[in-house]
Amino acid sequence: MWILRLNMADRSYRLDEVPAAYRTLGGRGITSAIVCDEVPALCHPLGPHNKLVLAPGILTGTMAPSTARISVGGKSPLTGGIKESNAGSSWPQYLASMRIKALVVEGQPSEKGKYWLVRLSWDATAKRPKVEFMPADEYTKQNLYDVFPKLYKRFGSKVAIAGTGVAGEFGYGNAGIVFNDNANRPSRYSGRGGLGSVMASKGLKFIIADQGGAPGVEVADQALFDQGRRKMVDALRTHAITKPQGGLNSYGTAVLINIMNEAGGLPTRNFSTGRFEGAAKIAGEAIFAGNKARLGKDLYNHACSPGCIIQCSNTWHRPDGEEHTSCVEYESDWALGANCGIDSLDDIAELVQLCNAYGLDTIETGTTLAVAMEAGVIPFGDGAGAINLVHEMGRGTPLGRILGAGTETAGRVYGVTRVPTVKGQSMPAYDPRAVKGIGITYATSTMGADHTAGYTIAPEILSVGGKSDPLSPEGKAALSRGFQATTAFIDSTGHCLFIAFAILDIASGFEGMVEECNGLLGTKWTTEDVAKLGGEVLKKERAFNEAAGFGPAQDRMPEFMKYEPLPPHKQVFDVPDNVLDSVYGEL
Amino acid sequence: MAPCPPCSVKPMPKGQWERESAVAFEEVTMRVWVRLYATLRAYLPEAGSGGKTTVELPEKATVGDLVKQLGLPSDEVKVTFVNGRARSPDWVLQPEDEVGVFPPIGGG
Repeated sequence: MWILRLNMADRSYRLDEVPAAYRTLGGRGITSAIVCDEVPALCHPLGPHNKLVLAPGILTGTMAPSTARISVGGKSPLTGGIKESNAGSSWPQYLASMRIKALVVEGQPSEKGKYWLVRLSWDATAKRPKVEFMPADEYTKQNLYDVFPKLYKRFGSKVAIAGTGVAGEFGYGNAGIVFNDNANRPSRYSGRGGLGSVMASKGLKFIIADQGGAPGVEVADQALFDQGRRKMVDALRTHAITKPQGGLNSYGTAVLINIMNEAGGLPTRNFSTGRFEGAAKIAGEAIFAGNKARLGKDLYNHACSPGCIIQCSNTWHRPDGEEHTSCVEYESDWALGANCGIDSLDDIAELVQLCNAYGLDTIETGTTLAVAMEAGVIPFGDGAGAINLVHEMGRGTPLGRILGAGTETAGRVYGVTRVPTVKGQSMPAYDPRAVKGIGITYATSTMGADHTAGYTIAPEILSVGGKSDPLSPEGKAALSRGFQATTAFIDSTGHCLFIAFAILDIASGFEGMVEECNGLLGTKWTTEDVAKLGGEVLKKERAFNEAAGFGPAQDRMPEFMKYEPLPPHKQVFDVPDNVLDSVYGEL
Repeated sequence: MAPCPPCSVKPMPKGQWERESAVAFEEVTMRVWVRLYATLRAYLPEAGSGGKTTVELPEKATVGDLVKQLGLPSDEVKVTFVNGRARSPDWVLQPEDEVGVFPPIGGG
């Protein structure tokens, strides 16, 4: 397998054999390792010394279910620390099939404002990937829904695409990296942390992957791999959350709107209360019912990427039945809905569509709009006003650039004190005052406020993987640490994090994950090794952040959460600082 | 999915609460507000999307009693909230409690 390095200073490339130290790494494990080993921690995230690293997971490209995840890493322009953001798409499967373990984008062109695309394909004669650089200026300053069809027309409908939108061209802290979904929409995002701007800063607009003729992934022990895969498939098909026509397949991730509202932890109107009166109108159940009314039939969800058997991605349809957008995820639905006081699914769908079109992270966009609403730029609940503000971001107007810089910057510009960020990254859809464990994850994660980094919501709210009182801080440091370490491993396998719902409850599924990896790599890991291996990833990320200047002060909640009680439970974030420090102190 | 059994469940249109309560309190000892979510909504179709329904229960009835009275299969009930807090099947309900019942769900 290779590490493919693209040097954007002179548009050259190099194929290196994977060094021994990286042989058993994949996904987040290898993106974080390369960033730690090669990126100067104090470099400017948009300067020539940052690197963008894209890696399929260990299992990506195989028949293991729900493993088409791409991990993207680099120094984040949003947080100033290390960033890993992953997404589901066919794109990483094509890289894995060409035996590219990681793709590292380095350097910077001397020509400012000029863009290239790279086409990766398989050279059957030389038996290695072929790399071609081509000018891409014709695709800049445009809506990605206009650009993607042009790229598919030029390169063929079977290629996979990674890219950055205008948000990246403007250098926003809020700019994701887009990947195609199964219907070739520009809708699957490594959204968080501004990595789209890192890609654009290198003059790189798109990476087109064509796997035609590629040899596919090599498996060390096929029998062991198949045994693990069968256990994983059984767990996913059995568990009530992940099975066909189960919670995720029927209602999508937005099924969480109602339960977080019941629990009093659905951040509403810029984290000012934990319940939204319009929750039922924007919940996953309402999406299902609305589509049924407009289409005249039950519409179950689809896979975001090939080989996913959970299939949680939805579409939302206009009154005439035409597709409006895909996908209205829980986080997007909440950020652009409840958190902005917006209760119209049509407005939320339009906002999601615009984020996808411009290359914006829906979470950071929704939290930034809410801070702008708090500042009085537009009122809470103003759907049309919110749509206009996202257009400002897409046009790069002065106001759009302030908003595009992210929630923390917008809060500073407008003098807002209620700014829900940690390490410069805005909080996702769980108020940490009502769910203490996830607050510990937000505060201490190497990523800034990030729910996926250590999803304690599973036991605290969903009664998955045990039960834990969300309002109590007791035992939550260990809970968050355990989830953060296990997650870092899952993020390395290439599995979608949603497998966790099944394997937290079904032990054979957890074994299956380890056997899949052992079968592929020839390793002899045990289930006990999972947290240790994940912990190694976290330690590297933590070391990078420390070298970038982060200390205990960056592992803290925004002050307002310590003195503003959140209705309805009237809770503040009361986890002591020494408990927060123990999460990594005792890793 | 089984149909809703003939239990003492009445959908409560907005604004009807005062008039209905006067009657109901003569006949039963306790009334709670109930919302069923996701796949469980089929057991209270008259409540509509996100709709709240009142259920009449004997005094000191538990969460488990409520689930039974609504005819919900116990293996489909994963989390029950009472006034915003997750409660176990043996939790004793109080008059006017707000109850939300969920099947196994997940997301992110």
